[in-house]
Amino acid sequence: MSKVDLGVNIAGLKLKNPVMTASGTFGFGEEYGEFYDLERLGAVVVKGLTLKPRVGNPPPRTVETPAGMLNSVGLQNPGVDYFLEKELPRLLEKEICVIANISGANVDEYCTIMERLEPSGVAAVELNLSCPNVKEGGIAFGLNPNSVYDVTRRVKECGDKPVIVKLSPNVTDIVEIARAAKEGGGDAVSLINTLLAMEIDIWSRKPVLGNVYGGLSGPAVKPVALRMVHQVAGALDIPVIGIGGILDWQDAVQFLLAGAKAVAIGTANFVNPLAPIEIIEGIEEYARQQGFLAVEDMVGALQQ
Amino acid sequence: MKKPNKLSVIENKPIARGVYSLKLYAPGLYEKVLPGQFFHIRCGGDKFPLLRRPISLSYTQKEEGFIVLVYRVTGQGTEFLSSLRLGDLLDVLGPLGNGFEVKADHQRVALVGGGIGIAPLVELAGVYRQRAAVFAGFMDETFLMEELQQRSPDVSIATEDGRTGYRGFVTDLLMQHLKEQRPSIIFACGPRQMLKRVAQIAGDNSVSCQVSLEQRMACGVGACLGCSCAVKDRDGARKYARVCKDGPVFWSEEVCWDE
Repeated sequence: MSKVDLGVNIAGLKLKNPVMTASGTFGFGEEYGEFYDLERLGAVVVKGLTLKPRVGNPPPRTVETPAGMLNSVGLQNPGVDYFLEKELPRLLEKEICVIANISGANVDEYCTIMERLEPSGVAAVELNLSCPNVKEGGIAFGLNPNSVYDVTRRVKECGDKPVIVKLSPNVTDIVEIARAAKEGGGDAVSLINTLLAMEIDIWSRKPVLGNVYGGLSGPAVKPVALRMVHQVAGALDIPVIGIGGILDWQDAVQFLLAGAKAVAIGTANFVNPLAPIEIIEGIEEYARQQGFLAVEDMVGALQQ
Repeated sequence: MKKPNKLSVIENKPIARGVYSLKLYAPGLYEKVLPGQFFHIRCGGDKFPLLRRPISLSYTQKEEGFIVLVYRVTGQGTEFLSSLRLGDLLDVLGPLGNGFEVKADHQRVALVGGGIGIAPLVELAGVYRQRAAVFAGFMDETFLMEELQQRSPDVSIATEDGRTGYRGFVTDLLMQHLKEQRPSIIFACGPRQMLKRVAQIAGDNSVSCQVSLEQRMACGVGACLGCSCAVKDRDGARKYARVCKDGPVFWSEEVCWDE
């Protein structure tokens, strides 16, 4: 039986396979590292980092909704310096491709974080321009093509590491935003972040989430994410990382066929801690069955 | 490496209105689970409901290799659980979280439970036996009384409608008890308002106290930060802790009760 080449090249990175973890669903890898060897992943995208530690939003922070869930964690994290000192060395003891997801309150903060990460062992940086759960930064940058262009360009000037721009689905024209990321010098785009949403408890007549609004993720958003990935991959020459409700290998294959060069697994981790591994195995088996010699040959292989 | 376990259902029966007792054959798990720890359970054969549901251990039956979980049906997840039958397989992660701090030098302990929060105290009562004074509070119908009484001879019951035992809150019984005895520690599980009152009583009487908290959870293993609760660290600084990983059992003075 021929062996399928699972490797993908994205944003100047050579990944051993196209499956990553989605930021915010995987901590710094410690918890899921108890379930499998993290070296098996294409990349680990760590919890969103800010310049200073953030305590996050008041609880409740999660609620299940039809075919999905809301979260309003609010970028709780120990800050970039703590990450560099305490978390990153543990990850780099192994052959793990670590991608740091970062959020700033303003463009200067994005640049400062990038400068701190530049001398470190992280393989790439993902700009979170799309967090719906914080007042400043995050999504404020992701809704406007000019600010996406501006922050991407400025961050690129701060270092040589590949920059992935994570996009919000809460926009009118996702292609326009992705184009701004590309023109700003972004090496890849990842999409989608969560959809801004809410849930109400009719008995208390209060919003369920302490933060009122939260981000919708899970299978409910998958068709939206798939459509956006297809649009961006079709319109622009920039690598796309597909994210949004991927629960199993069949979902992941859909994203690859739609044009994503890699996928990131988020909510599925909560359902099945072994999901990323099962998805890697499933993609390989599908490729073999369908006669693809390499996963990269599957990318965008959608029949017209 | 950890992995989700497929456990066989031995028995799943209603023990009160809307309350079920689920017995699972759990080789490899029953030996190591501690009182106060929980299991994160996939509640559906297919994809939905999506998220696992955290259910605390009620008690083990070690000779048979069983664990027993007692839950109240409150939504789609527990609705699914209530439909399980003998021989069904359940996807169970765990045991997870930190249990109650059991110590050999605890001469006397007080266990305080309210409603479904009584369930995790059964295993604890089995650890302390004669050294435990158990206080169980219910709205109306009682459950798990036999299981508690088998383990600890000293069980007091409070019901809000007065149908069994003392009419009123279980915390009244605790207060009365503390006038006569000074336990080494109080362990409590139940509704937040009850826990808050227990914490207050423990503080007033300078008795150390651990409480088991509840929160909506997603991952259950500490990665997603979805189940946070506000706590104070040693320096009194406010922060969010993870109920699943840092808890579900916390020292009562750690918890920010007014949030």
